[in-house]
Amino acid sequence: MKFRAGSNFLYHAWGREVGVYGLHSGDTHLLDPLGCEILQTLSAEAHTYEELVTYLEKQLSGEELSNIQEYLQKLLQEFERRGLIESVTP
Amino acid sequence: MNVSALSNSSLQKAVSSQGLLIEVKPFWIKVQTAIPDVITGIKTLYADHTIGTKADTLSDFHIRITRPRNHRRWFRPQALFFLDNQIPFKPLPLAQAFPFFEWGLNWCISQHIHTYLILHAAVIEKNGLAAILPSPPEAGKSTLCAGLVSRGWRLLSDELTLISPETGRITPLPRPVSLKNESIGIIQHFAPRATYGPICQDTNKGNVAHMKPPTDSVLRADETAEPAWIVIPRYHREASTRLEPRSKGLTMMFVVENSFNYSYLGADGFHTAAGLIDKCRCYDFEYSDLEEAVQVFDSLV
Repeated sequence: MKFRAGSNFLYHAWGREVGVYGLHSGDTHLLDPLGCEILQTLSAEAHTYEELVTYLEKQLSGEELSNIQEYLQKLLQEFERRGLIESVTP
Repeated sequence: MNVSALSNSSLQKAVSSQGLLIEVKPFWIKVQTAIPDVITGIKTLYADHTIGTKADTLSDFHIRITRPRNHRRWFRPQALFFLDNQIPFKPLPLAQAFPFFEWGLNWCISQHIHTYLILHAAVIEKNGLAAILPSPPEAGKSTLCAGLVSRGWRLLSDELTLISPETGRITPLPRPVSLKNESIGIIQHFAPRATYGPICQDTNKGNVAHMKPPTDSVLRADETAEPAWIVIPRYHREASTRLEPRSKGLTMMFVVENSFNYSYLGADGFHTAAGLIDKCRCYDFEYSDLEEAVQVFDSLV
């Protein structure tokens, strides 16, 4: 199963806070930089959970890596709940 | 010529017949009514506003407040609100006719004007810089606004903050400040020389009265202001005065939730709101003492 972003988005950052506007939904969200990066990645192309883990392992280091799978699972669940991403069967 | 230049009889004749065109910048409002409380309210609280004398001036809103023609004209009398000959609301008691005009005008602007991003917020100005006070009802926004404009801040608006998507600046909309319940007595004590309308009792918001906008605020309604602060107020009885920085991201979400037409404006709304957050320092503000509140706001400038 892959995930992909369900809309095109506008982004605006204030330090470690990123405002995200869904052009199709009209909804506005507040994300952290890593969540924003995941969303942008899924906007460009659909990815599996494992591909996202691999991607994050290359971006993060040290302590940030320790809870990466738990973080990503929660993030993807939250994104789906908010309608930011959708699951697709390849 | 402004409203105060009209004699009582001239004002009554104009308003009750073809209607009176009043400039409530940036809009022209045509008001038609024979209800004495509304006429008195306009005479008192819109005294400094310009009246239209040119035959070709078009109104943005044509508002008519009348009494029903049925039995509710006499029995537990009511007032009706017309916008361009349509009735958008249920009737209210006749005794609430002037607040009905004010609430109705708020609705007209917030629902029909989309050349600005409109926030549910008071906004005041000093030295060219604007402090926006967004908040849900009952948080003390209008009390704080009334207190500050009684101590040297210019009133831009008590209820609707108009933000230009093109420039990001605030356009003034100086109108009477709406006070409710205990804030009426607080502000009348704080600013005894201000002009107030009568207290209207038993509305769905409790007791309501209006403070006339300062003359200077009305005369300077063409002067836009640069937003500099977003301060989310919270009145708590006996609270210590406290101004705390708050995150820009959370303030953005708060602004979005307290906007009337953010959704309607789409991407423009997002860009305008985000640009506003860029320009502003953002705070939470808790207070119970107006003098202390004024000192805190003065220290921002």
